[in-house]
Amino acid sequence: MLIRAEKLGKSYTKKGRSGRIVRALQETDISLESGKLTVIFGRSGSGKTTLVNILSGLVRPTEGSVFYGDKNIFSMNDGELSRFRIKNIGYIPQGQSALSVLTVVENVLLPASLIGKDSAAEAERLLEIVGLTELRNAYPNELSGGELRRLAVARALINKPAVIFADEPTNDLDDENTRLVLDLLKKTAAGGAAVVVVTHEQSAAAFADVICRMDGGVLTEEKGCKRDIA
Amino acid sequence: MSRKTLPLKNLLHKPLRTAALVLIAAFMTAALFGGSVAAASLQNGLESLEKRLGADIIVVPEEAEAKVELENILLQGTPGYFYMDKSVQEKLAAVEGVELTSPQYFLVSANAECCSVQVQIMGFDEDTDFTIKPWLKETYSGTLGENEIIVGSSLSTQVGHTLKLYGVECKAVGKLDATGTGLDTAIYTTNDTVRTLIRASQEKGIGVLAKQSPDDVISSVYIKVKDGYDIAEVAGNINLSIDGVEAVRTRSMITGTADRLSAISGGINAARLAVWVLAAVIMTAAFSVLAGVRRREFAILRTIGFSRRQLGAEVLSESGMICAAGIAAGLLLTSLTVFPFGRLIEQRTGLPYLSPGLLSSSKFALLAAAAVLITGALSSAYSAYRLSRADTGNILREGD
Repeated sequence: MLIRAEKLGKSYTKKGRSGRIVRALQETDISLESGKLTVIFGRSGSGKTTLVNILSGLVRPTEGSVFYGDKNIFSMNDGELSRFRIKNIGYIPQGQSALSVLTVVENVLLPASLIGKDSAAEAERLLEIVGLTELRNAYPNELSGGELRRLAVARALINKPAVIFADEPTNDLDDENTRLVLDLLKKTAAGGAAVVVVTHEQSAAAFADVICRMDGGVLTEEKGCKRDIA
Repeated sequence: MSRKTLPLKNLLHKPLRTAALVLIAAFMTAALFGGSVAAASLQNGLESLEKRLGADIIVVPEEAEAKVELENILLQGTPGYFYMDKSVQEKLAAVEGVELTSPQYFLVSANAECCSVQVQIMGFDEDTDFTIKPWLKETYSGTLGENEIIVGSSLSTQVGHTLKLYGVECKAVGKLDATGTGLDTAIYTTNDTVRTLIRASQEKGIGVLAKQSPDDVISSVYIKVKDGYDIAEVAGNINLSIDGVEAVRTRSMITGTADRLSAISGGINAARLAVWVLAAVIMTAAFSVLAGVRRREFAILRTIGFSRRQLGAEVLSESGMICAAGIAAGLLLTSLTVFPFGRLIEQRTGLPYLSPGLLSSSKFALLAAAAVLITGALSSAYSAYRLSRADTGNILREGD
């Protein structure tokens, strides 16, 4: 599925007395292809998280549109968009994102339960891939940072989405876990999904098919980054 | 794994927090249900009392008021007795405006003879009675024979068993429904049987009548006034025209009781309202604080694919489960306190107290449950709205 964003912009009012309006994203165009891992680099506050939040349908842009195929996802209402997201989009948020009340396997199965899908076998397969089979019944507080990040990857993949967005998936991880997580995402892309990784971790470049860079809410081209809409 | 089990898992994960909220809901349920039951019981008691009296005027010997608390004997079944010449009944029947007259006999069982405490024995005239018989008919349709008695609901004697009163074997042929008053501890029989008991007491040397024969006396006369006559006027005429008696309007006897009941019911209602408001405020504050604490958790659910509606449902489900558990605990708590201790409440308040039946109690329980569920839903609705509208992107960024 081809994903394309047209003239995306996002402004928000800063909290506090100043009420300053911040332009987090400015007239950004981008297209993403299936089977490729796109890495978006950028400093903190450059707008890269805002971009993936909009591309994943999590945050509505102030301007512009995002098309999945021919479908403008922001023309849908919240319920429709949520259903679309759960079936087509996997999202790995920043930091620890496992639900503490659920075991590892329950966390992985949660997105499938939202669409009433029996994905027990798929969950076991993913847990094996991410190396968490033995911890399937453990609770998140028993897991290390790397294990939690791998759990988030498995959860994002459970519904076999066409697109995966990962926001700083290697933050705070040691080299070995960084490599493990990026390798997993690379393999997912190789399996046909469009994978977008937002990071400031330069080592991610080695895994990227496409590299983009964000600065001041503006996307700049680098290795294969398609800013122009086809 | 089912999304539907998530609210339950969340609640079980924080047992203390959940228990505190359940306790608030239980307290609210107990206050609403218990208060409704208590208020209804007092109202039922008063209605039962009014029904039980059945007469417009009760005539007693003039000295009766000085001898005993008349109201207590007539309304509460407090053991006591007094007598007057039975010719009074004929005189009363001749008073203008009097439609029906029926004499009654009062006697008190000897100490520790039949029962653990003295009980009031009330005799009535089978032929003329219009106050006790309609009440007895609800449980006993036959005619009372010699030495046959009907016992109040609070006495342990069962139908078919016998009680020895002043050495006379009396057979219990019926047991009355509860009235919620002290009358539940009384024994009811015919005037003839009471006379037999009085004679037996005289033979035992513990006679209650020193000079007169039991055949020549009665304790009171119950009067029904003809339609169109003013009851107060008829009572006044009796007091003026017949010496040695006092005519008391039954309505005036229960006025004090009704006033006290009204004050207590008002107190109960005020307490109910206060508890409800307090619980609603606490629950709203608790859910609001929790909404703040759980912002990131809900943002994560949003990234997974939960819609705003599903997030709201999540909060409302948790609130519903908390309220359901609180309702169950509150109803149980009330059932274990308000119902079994009805008699104690009656004794402590000195007011008639008749617990409502199963149907009414179920209605009160349903209303209390609905009130608690709605309060819980409204208390959490704002939090649910806030969480579902929160900016997921910002929250996730704040967490790091």
